[in-house]
Amino acid sequence: MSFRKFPYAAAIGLGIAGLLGPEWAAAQSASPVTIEFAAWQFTEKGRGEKLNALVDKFMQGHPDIKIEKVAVPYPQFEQTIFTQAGQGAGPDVFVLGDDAFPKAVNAGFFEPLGELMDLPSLNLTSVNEDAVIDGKQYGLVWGANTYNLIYNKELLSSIGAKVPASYEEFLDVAKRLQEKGVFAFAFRTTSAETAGMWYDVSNWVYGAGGRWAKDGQPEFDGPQVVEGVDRLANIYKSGYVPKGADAATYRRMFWEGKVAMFIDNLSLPGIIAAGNPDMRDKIGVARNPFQSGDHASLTTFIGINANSKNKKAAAEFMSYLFSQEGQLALYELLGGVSVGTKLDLSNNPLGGNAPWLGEMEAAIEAQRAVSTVPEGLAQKASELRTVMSEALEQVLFNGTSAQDAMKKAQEQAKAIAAE
Amino acid sequence: MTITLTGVTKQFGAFKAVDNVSLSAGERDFVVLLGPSGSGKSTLLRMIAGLEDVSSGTIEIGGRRVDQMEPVERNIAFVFQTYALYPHMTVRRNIAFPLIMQRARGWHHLPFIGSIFKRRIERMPEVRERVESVARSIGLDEMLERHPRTLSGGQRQRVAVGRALVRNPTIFLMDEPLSNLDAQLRVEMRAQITRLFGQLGKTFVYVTHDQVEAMTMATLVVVLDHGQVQQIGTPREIYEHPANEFVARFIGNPPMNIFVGRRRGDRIAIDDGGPVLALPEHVRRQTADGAVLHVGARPEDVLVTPGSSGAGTAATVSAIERLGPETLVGIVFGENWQRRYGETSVEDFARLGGYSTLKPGDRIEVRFNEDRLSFFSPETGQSYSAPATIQSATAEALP
Amino acid sequence: MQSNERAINREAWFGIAPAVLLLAAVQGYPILRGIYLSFTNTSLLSPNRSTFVGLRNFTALFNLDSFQITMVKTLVYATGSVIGAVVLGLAAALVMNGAFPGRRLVRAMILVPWATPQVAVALVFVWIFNADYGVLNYALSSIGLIDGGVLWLNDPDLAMGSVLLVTIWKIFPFSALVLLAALQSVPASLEEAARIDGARGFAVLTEITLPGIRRTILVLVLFLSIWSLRRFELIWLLTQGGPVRATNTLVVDLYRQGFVNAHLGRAAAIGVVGFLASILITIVYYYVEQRSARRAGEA
Repeated sequence: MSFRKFPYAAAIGLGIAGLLGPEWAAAQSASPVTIEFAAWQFTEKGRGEKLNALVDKFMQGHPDIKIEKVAVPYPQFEQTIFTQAGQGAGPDVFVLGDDAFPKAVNAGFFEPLGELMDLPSLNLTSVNEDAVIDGKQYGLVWGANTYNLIYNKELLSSIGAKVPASYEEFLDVAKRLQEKGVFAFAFRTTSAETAGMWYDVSNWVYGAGGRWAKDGQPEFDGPQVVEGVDRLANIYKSGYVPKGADAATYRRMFWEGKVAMFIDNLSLPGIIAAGNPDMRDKIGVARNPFQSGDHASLTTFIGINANSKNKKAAAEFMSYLFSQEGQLALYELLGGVSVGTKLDLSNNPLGGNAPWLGEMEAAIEAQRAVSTVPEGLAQKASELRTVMSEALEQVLFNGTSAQDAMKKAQEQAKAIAAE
Repeated sequence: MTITLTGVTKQFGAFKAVDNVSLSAGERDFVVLLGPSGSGKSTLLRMIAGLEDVSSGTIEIGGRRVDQMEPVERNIAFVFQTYALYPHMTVRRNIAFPLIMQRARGWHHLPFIGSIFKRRIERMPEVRERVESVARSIGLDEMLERHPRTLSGGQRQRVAVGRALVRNPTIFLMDEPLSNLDAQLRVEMRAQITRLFGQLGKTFVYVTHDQVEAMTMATLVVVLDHGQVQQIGTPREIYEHPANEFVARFIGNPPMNIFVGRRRGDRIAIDDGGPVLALPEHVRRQTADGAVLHVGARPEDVLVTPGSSGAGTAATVSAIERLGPETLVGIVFGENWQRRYGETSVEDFARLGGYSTLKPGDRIEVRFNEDRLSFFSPETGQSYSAPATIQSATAEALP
Repeated sequence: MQSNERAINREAWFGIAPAVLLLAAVQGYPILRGIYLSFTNTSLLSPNRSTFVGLRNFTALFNLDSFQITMVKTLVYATGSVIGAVVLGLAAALVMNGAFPGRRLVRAMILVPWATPQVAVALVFVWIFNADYGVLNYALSSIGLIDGGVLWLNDPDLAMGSVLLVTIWKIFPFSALVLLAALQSVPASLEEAARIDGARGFAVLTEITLPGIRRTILVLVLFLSIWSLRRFELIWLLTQGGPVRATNTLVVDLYRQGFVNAHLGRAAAIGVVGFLASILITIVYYYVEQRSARRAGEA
């Protein structure tokens, strides 16, 4: 090669060196292992700060492990994790709702924990059995949550109402609240919140005694399902609900005293109290205002990414989270939701900070928890959710009757189930 | 149509582009607005056309006051320096455009739908015939379907003229129409425009910086400088009796020579050993003995004979330019006839017919044609000549 | 070819090789892979496991009447945003073309919507459009035009309009600046000649100015159309394609199919449809450009 070609060769050589360089450098150092931990709770008021503190405490005790906190908001969480994991990447440790968990296990995103952790020593609750698939424990319970009625005691007593125990009582209370100029209720109605909308609607459907599916076959057009959807649409059209407000907005409206009631998971009282400390003593928790006594449950699992390159470090972190110390911190963080292990609550860390605990336990005792995942259709959960939210939008915004909308939804659901 | 301008001024802030111009032209006058760049001649033309507003003063065309009217209402024709042909229209449509605008309603101007209506108007017999007859009269009938892009410079000018003619305008305004052409084409087009003027019999107002065009085409020349009228007159008057030194040196190539001299009784002695010339009576009346005066003599009125026969005043050749039919001889009275490169000097030239063999440094004899001299005041530059023979609109007191 | 020429050609190839490789890798490969994916049944959860299914994704797509709605919405969105941006941009350009005090400031400020990231714009407008707390409803009801909470983004009849409003607001500065540059290349003498020939105001605009900038307008329309097919963040963050698919354009549908429903194969099929639409637009552009150039005597 003539001397003139040298610049080209040099350029190509430098380019290759530049691409490979970082890899070489990384392989040389044996400095602290870094793992990524993804949870949507990082983005929530009150919980985010406490979770941060918990992770920092772990890092203090384990200087050889550095944890990068990945905060992805709930509406985008599943998509983001799945896209990354599908590529063979993704965070080393992450949480996932029970509606997405089976799909993730099926796709091979979770590593069986039996080898990595000393499971028998953890004193796990029975709910953890839901994470056992084909005999392997793919994840542990982060929080077993349920949906209940959360209400503003002051607002209800100001109209001299007691907590509604049935749909009819609910309508009556709502009307009186409306006359007072306050929104009676709130639920997710924006197209950006398909995931959360599902939980909201499920409570109403279960409250009317319906179920989404039976034995792997969707029953979207069942009479009780239609009744549940119809009731929800009714309170929307009656103006009892702030239209177009997303979850973050109406939670704020609640702690500012503009919304009287909503149905949400048990972490909410803590979030409300963090948003407005004056509300702490006014938060009431009760069973859902329906006669069937069924309410939606949401179990969040946590597990180790099968693609992780630092499974040992990940397992150490998991073990910390499931130690007595970690579990108590988690319990406090989640605001009193049941965690994965059986806890000794003689010194309840929430103490006087959560005056609603007693009511919460009473509400849980009084109802039957039903998973929001359509029975036998775990793999298709997100698609079915899209169908459901479109049907709800038709009813709320297009004036379609619940009957017609759910009939159409059932056709689509059946097609999806059949694939 | 007659044109009358009275005290027309155009001001941009404190700057006066056109300063108090008054002139009056009759029907069938070819008026040339002549001046260097920045003299305000184009601005003046545009004010007559209505493309610029008048800051003060009035403009009348055919006795009608027009300075507040829109251009189209004045019924004038305007030929731009760049012709301003509509590039996306055929020659036919370009020429027909004024007629189409006359007949078009509001919605005819909308894109797409409007073209149907406009095509219909173009095809109306009266429009079609008028366009074709105008085209024929200027030799464009073969090119009606072509686009301006495909035409030569001369053809484009004809299209511009055609578009101007088609409305039968009262006056014709032209803004330096020959500046974009090469020398040969310019000569030809000059003749064409003069012919057009003859054929149409309308008043033309023509702007140029080229004094040759002014001299050859005009019936009335308005010389402008810095927005002010320097002189108004026929080409001959401008040439033979310039009102001030600016006009004297702007017209004529090479320009009129200006010699500095001193009055001695009833004669004037040119400095540096130049000739002593007779001083006309009207100049004597207006000057003091011993006063410094400027004498203007055109090159053809400076007569040169080689040698030292004593027939005139002795001088030396400082430069020689042999043009072919004539030779320009630079003359110097006095000692310093040498010229160095980079030295600024104003040459005084004499015209000698034919091809001369003189060279710089040769001794010559110089005589002046004393009937045809001009005399100027050194302070004001104004000519001392009898006011009756001069039509200057800026009447300033002569010293 | 002389050996010298051959040597220069080889060097030329060396020189452009990095650029060609980069383009092939970053643009060529994804396009080809996308087309391949559209013929398979790949899931997001295991993107490397593909089973060939031929045209099934496409036939499934065209049988869905919701996809037909998607096509309609895409067409509405594209035409709406392009026409809006061109008309508003032209108006702005005409204003900026004249001299007025503060013109330089206006020219700089007009770029603000264009320069702001789509995400920021979407988030701010979500709040402006909020039914109960939004500034828009507040302003309109305090001057008495409406009373109470209009659901700009949640009402299926209004959602597309609201999305178009935000889109046009964001992109018109680009079209204004492009058209301004074009306007300034139209010689003033043409417009003056038209005035002398009897064209007034609006007529000068349509007879002389617009034909003068015809080419620029065409290219602008081409770019804006293709960009409107690609515009994702704005629509997704405002309405996620809802409510009830009111703003569900091709690319929004693609995202939902691919990343929410995890059907990469079907998403890729939608992508191929969009790709073909872009090619179609470009072909139409060329045809229109040639024809109008011929009619204006430029071809």
